[in-house]
Amino acid sequence: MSELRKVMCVEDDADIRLILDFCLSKVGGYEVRCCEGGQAALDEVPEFRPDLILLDVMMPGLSGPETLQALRLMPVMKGVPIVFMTAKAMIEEVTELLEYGATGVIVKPFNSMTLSNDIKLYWEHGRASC
Amino acid sequence: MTLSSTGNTVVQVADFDHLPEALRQEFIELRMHFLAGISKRWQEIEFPASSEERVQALHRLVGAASSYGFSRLGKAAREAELSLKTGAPKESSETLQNLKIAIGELVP
Repeated sequence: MSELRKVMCVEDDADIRLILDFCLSKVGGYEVRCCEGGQAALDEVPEFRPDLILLDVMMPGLSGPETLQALRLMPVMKGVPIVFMTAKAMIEEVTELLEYGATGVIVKPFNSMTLSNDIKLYWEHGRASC
Repeated sequence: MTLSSTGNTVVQVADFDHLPEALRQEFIELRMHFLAGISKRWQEIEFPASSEERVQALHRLVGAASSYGFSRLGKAAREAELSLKTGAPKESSETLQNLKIAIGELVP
């Protein structure tokens, strides 16, 4: 995995999935797969083989942290950074999310025009440590 | 490493201007699509099946609105979400009213 090419976005809000797809595929040039929930992500990861996953925290069904824990058990996820996205901005909540084993936390609203560059930093930092 | 992007205005003019024309147009269309669905979002907030669903609907709006560049709407939704979580009825009513006004400014 020498470059960041494939990004999976797990997000229950359809409008946010649309803007994520726009920012990452059209602006950033990545191959993007959007899933509307944690279970869909677990189902699609083996086939899609993402280089990085952006994961919403608060979702119906499997929550973000529950999804992260299940993803970490999958052999294909070895070395793949997972970055939480959350509208919660309290520093203690960010710390708690990192303790689940995420590479980083992006606080929504994200910057639509810089998101594709921001995730590259997470990928460079995270692939060596997870 | 923790990065965050919590700026008030999401799409700075300079950033937006650097997009190719086709992408600028697509972004504008995405914003219009978001606004077309705002009435449905308000319905979910005004007439929720439960108080928990109202908070969830507000939480989704917080994340979505500002990501599309509607920072005032996102701020109003955030204040409503926080007031509902703290459970102060008068404050909740006021913040929901402010949210309704913010929506009305975008979709008359």
